[in-house]
Amino acid sequence: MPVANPVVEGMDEAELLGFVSRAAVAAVRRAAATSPLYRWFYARTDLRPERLRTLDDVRRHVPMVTKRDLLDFQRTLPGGGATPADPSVRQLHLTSGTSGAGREIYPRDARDLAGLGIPGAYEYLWAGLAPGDRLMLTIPYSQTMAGPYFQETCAAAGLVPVNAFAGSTADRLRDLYRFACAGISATPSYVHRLTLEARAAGRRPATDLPSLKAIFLSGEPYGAAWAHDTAAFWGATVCEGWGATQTLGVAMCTCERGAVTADGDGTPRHAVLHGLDHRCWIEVLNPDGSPVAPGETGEIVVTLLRPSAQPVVRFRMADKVRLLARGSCGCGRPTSCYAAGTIGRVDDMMKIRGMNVWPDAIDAVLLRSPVVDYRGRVYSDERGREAVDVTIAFAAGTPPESVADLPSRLRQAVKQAVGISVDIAVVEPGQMPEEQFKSRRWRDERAVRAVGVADG
Amino acid sequence: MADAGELRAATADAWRAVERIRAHLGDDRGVLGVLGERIAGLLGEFAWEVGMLDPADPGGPGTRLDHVGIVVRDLRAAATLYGDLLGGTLVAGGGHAGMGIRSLHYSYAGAGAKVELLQPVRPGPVARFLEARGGGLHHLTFFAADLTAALDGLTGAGLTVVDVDRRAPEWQEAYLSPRGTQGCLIQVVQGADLAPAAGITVDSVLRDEWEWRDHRPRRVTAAPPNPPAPAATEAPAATEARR
Ligand SMILES: [Zn+2]
Repeated sequence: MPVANPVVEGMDEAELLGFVSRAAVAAVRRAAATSPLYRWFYARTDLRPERLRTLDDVRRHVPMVTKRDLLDFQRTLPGGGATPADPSVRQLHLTSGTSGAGREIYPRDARDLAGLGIPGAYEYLWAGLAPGDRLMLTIPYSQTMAGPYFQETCAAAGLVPVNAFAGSTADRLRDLYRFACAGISATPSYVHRLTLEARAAGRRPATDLPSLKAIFLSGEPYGAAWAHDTAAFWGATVCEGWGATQTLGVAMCTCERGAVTADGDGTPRHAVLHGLDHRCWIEVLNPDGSPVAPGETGEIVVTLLRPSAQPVVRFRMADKVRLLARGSCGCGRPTSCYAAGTIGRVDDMMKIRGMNVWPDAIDAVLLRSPVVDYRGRVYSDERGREAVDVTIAFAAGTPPESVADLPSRLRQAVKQAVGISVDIAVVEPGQMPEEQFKSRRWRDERAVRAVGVADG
Repeated sequence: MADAGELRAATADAWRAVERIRAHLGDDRGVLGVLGERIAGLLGEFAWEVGMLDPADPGGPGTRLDHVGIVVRDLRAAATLYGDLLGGTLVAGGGHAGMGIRSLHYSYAGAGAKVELLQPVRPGPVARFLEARGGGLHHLTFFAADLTAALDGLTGAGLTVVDVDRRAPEWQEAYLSPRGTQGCLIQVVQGADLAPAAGITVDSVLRDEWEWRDHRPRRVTAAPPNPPAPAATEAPAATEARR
């Protein structure tokens, strides 16, 4: 069994929980004493950090914060938080702001930068990669801070990053072979596209690319059947990691057993994500704030345990996951466990080509006179690329000549507002089915969503 | 694989070494200062990954002995013994008006704990201790990563905690009454490790150029002028003035 850190993996569950408990209590006290955000936030509560002793105390007495709280706080600062004067800050991490609510600002200090890639190294090393192995990175530097973060994960694991942000899918396929890569890091959608490209080119990576050990997925949910087929085609373990700006890197990842497993009868099933509990305390909660039972799905709430220039304490991620019982994986590691493949949004946010897209933001562009309604579809085109088409309906009696160029203008407006390209077609209002919920305006027909029989 | 306890103890030693390096660099923002900052960042990560919440604290949730306080009548003679003869490095010291004392702190290679020499300069509790006992061991100071948790454990065991003082976040302290400890005054502190004071000397402390304020030594008198530079590089006016 590959070991990333013998000290942490050698702890038993009680030891690890004891460490997490002490670290979480210390994180709350540190945030309450030193963080401008949490001082401001807790001042409105009767929190007494010195009375906290256990994880349960933290759960019961420490209020949760949201992205909106952070944005509200930043608006109280000079420059809307854009000019933090702390001389220990070494990097400003801005979120993409595609929700329309604003861009969160995360200052990073030297400690943050030293630790940024470490949890991601667990994912690679557990998957069997070793220092010196080459890992192809396809997640682009544009839009998000993901690019620099992936570089750091390679550095922390001793891997050689093969940067494949530029160039075509054919170029990347060639470089996988040319550099004898041991791993690929990509979104499920992009892996699907690579698979189609490799098939079309007559490649048989399971036999002609023996260096490839693992495919590291992140960014969107995927079906067990799709993951199973992908693993078979590439002859590699399909792995998954989940992390976010707030968690300062990966917070959950698969081990050598991968993200998909097969039942006795061969039916693919999602496997297990391990929580990297010693760095990030993960809670999975019901909407009323109570913890879900193992087997149930709830919202991910994170507490960053390492000291940071921007502490994160009980931060509601608006991502959901299915909690599993500790020990569910069977590999023997003492960590918390979650279902792979299932992490999605609590709200109706969609991840399209790596961009966070909220239907609200598209509504704001499209639902203006004379457009009365629309339907959207995200699908995989014949080459495996994620594509979006939108059908709009005009109000009855709209003269056709007055809206002749509207589809192209709306296409531009959507691109500008939410960053994705859409194809727009027009239908008569009567041809559009009634929908009660706005999220049902959207259908997701991407190939990577193909489920196993046992998925649920 | 090394024993985790030994790894933590070695990490704590390394942490103190890096803190010493950074103290000598002072406010240097050059490449050395930034390298020191980055080394400290990486070492902090190393400490966390070997299971330490605080790299200055190899005991994890427990406590570590920070220093032994010893009352002396003649501070200069004690400095000769604990510094020159026993090989201690002077890392802190100064006058403490409130307690009526002057102090010198020595660290020793390979030892986590320091020796704090206390000389009474005015009537007060330390002067009374000297008169009553003729000097010697005065107190032990333990650092705890979490004062609240440490005090919980001590009171839970039936010990009496007195004089809890949390006014300064960087130095929160409490004492165990000697009645419950078989005669030894024990101080428990949650605080930041003290970086060695750059430029401190026995003479400057004895001249009262250092003051113990806000739980750390501060220089209150300007350092004496540097020794004269070689005459050739001096401006004629400065040379004239000195004559
Ligand atoms: Zn496992």
